[in-house]
Amino acid sequence: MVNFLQNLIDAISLGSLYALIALGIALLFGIMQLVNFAHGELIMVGGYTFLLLEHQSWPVIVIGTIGSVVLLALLMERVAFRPVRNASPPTLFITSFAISYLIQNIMIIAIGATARAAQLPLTLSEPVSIGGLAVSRLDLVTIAGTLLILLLFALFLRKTRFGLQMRAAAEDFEMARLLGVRANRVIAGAFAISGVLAAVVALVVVEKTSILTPSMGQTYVLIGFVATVVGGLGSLPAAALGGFVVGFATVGLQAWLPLSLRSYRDAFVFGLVIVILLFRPQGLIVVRSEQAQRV
Amino acid sequence: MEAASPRRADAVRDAVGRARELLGTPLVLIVLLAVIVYGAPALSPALRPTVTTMLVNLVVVIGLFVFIGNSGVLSFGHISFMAIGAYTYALVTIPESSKSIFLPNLPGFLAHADVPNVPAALLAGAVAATFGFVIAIPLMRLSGIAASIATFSVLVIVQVVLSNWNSLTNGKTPIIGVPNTTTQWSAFAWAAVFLVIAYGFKESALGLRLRASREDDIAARGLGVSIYWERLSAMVVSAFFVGVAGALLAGFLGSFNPDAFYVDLTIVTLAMLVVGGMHTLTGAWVGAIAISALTEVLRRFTEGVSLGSLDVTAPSGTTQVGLGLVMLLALIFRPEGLVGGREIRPPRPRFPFGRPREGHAPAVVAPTKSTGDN
Repeated sequence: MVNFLQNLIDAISLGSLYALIALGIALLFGIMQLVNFAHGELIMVGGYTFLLLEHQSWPVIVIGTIGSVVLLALLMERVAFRPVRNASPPTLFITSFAISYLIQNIMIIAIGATARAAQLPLTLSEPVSIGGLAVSRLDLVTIAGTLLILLLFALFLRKTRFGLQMRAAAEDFEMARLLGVRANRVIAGAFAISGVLAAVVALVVVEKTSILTPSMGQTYVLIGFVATVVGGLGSLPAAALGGFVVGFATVGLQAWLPLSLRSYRDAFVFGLVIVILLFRPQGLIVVRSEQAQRV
Repeated sequence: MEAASPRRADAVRDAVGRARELLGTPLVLIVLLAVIVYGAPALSPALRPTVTTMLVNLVVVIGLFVFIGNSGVLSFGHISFMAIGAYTYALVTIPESSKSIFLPNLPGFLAHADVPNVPAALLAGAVAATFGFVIAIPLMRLSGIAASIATFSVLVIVQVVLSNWNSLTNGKTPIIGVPNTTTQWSAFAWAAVFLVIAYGFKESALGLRLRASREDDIAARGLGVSIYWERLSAMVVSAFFVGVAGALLAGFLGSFNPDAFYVDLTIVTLAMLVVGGMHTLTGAWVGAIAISALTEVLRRFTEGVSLGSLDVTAPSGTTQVGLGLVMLLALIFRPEGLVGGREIRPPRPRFPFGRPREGHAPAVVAPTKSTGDN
């Protein structure tokens, strides 16, 4: 039972992280059909900003990381994605890949390809004992933080004018523009928000692993794609759900697969992804409008 | 006699026109390719391995084009076919004596297998195509991004299995001792054959139906295109090509491990296809050649070149930054690819049978029109 609860907390924590990544990817996909491979580089740059600021106080680290990642996200949008905005999805994807490749290698020129270790204050990784369970504080902070962000995000989308415009743009971009939604503002806004989400993921990832490499973003962004599609395209709660599903599948298989098969874990996770897609090609949550048919 | 002769002339003209239609583009591409394959090593013998690598990439990109270019479905799974081809080729060509040392647990028929190169490459293609067929049966029901993510899942699964199936693949440890049989000309021969087949596939009725479904799947279904079968066939053909490319790479490198066939190669080859222009064979060709050539040029700059009395050396990582930058610029300025949606064609020959008579439309006109702008 204790074991089960332990795994459950691990699963929720990992699922929260994946949900945050999936949200950042789904947001841009919904509005401009962009599968943003460079989201991983936002996470990576966030991680290195964290490293740069590691001896500062917490608010400085958080604000600095978010600030730098949001700036980078806006820069990407302005320089690279705006000119190709109306191109086909494969072109958009390869553009995002080119950006990712570029940033990764600029980073390699600047600081080298070797891994860096962050020396972080240990307070967050110390376990807290809750009814016999040793729970790391980081897991608790991650879970609480994700819930808070999801809540704020939902409120933002439901209650603010900008959120409304963003939902309209995700539903039907052309129609939204005809009704006076400014394309440049909405898309730049979406990039900024996906930057905030990536920065939060970077903070959690660095705290969790404390290892940084210029290619660290790739793993996360790939999981993010998968989670987004499994959850269901075109709706943000669905993407978050997808993140949790992939997180639960990963932790669950790690815990329950027989030892001889454990090294095949990822094969099982992705096998499950295929099965889910075969039964629910639109993802677990199907959006009501016919927009979903298009993608 | 009076009536039969012009009719025969018409028939010949139609046949010539149709042959020109089907073979013109691949022949031009093959001739240009031959110039590069012959010329580059003549300029500098050090370019020989570069040319071979370029040809292997070209074969992969032709394979990607057959499926992605015609169907419009982005596949991230094709490099798993390459991995399967490479391992198949390695297991049937490595001499029995070395297999018995580092792969002692191979099943008997593989342990004793000793297949010559060309049949081994065909076998590699066939195994990859069979695998492609098996995964396509469920996966081709999907379209759009769901299909892309499902194919990506296949890539991960194949990677995990190859990395862990120690008795067959030696796991993450590189497999060694594959005979170095791939030369620039053997790779060229495969590329040439595949250029012809790929173009024929695109121009076939099946290819036309597939391209119709790419442009508008609902309309294509309305016209009786099943889409499922078309995509399945394209998947099998392209898996065969990419499997052979895996065999070529195995015979070129001599030693490799599963990491050689993963996300990096997937995205580099996809980038070649998209930068060149994914809807034409010419685009696939241009993308593969241009990016390979650019990589080589940038690599040389990184190593240092002498411009007159000036030695120019770039810091490491510059190759990749340059490549990323050029790709980005190409996509920004030509989002539809470097080749603007048209196939290259040989210069129109002077027609030996005079102009077509009025009111007689040769059969070749219709396909010309329908393929003109895609």
